[in-house]
Amino acid sequence: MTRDEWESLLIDYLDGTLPDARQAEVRALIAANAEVRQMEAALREVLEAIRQSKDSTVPASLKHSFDSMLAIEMKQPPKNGRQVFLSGWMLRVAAALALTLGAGAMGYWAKRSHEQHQEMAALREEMAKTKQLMLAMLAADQPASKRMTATNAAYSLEKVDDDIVEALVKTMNNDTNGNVRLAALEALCRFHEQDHVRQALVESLAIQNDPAVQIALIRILVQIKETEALQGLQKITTDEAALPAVKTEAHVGILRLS
Amino acid sequence: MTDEQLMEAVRNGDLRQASLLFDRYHGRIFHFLARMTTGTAAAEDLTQNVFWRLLKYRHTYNPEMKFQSWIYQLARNAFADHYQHEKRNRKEALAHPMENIPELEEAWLAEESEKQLIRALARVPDDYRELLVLTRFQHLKYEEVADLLNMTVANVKVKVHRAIGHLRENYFQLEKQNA
Repeated sequence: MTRDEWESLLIDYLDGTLPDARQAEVRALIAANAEVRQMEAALREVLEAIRQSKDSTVPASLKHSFDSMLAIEMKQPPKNGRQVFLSGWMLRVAAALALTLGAGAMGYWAKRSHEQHQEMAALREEMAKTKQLMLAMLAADQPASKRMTATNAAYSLEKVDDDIVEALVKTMNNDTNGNVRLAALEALCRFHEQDHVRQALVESLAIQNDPAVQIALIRILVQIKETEALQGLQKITTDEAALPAVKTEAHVGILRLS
Repeated sequence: MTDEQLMEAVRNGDLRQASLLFDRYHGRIFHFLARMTTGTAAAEDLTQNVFWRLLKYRHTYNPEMKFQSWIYQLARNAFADHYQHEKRNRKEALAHPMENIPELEEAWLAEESEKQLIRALARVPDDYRELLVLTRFQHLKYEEVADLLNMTVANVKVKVHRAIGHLRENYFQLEKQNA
């Protein structure tokens, strides 16, 4: 019997899963052999340490976060494609931001009365605050769930300004969480008609190294017919670090964009 | 209602049932991820991510599949994403990525023997560590782990025993270093 085999036998012995007769045989082996005895003692100590090991306390905040997430999801109308999770106040943030960006068009109407003008000024102030709040939620030191919520809020916007684009690009390229990076990429994709967004997507090809994000990015660049991406795609096909699936996607992209 | 019935209801649009699934599973998933990452902060983030995936990907649940296997698979995927990212961003941690337990975790690991165990566990190769966590800390049966990992029960048992061997070696190596 090899050392591995009798170590395995000793684990069964200590677990008490051997038939009685076999259990007695192992007991005899332990008594007769010093090396086996030493191994049995070591395994007993480790298995006992596992049994004594205590789990950490489950944070109460998990339940609260889940309840919020669920409440938001329940408010979402059933739809095909990407699901967006927004908390109640984040919906207000998104709505306020949409209003900020559309404020120019509303200006004419605001001039109609002094009262309306005052309301607009207050609204602008509130919207500036909410935008800052959203940008703050995208900061790297925030939990991933908050960064994801802020990214999803951006996804729901009709228009974005340079500050938001910049924050989304930074998130897409640097966030530590793959899901958040993907969400930022998807949010940016919605605004691909803006030149600087397209440029950021092209530049991101050389930055991304997560296969899921790389593949999603390539598909988006093909979808928006961004021929500037060809050079980056070419580099991926010869990149030794790129996974075969990513290289295949890059080859397909080159074919479609050429 | 069984887990599978609840998840089928969630898949069909009755999202309130997800609360019951959360109540039944969030502790186990959190503890699984805490053991895998050796950190409660990362585990909290990842547990949120698992239930976010549960809601987001609810349409992909196959009612013929055991819910427990499905949610553990979501947790394994969340951990794999986290681990890959950590590996890329912390070159110094490539040898033993989870060996350096952050100071803030010290409260959890008050006992010296517990610290030694967790450090020894962190040095066990990933696939073996996962088997140890699932069977010895989470108390899943070999049949359940075999179902989850798409392995035979015999293979699970062999690998768990090897994993205990790795843990034993690491545990006493650390004891010698600390002596």
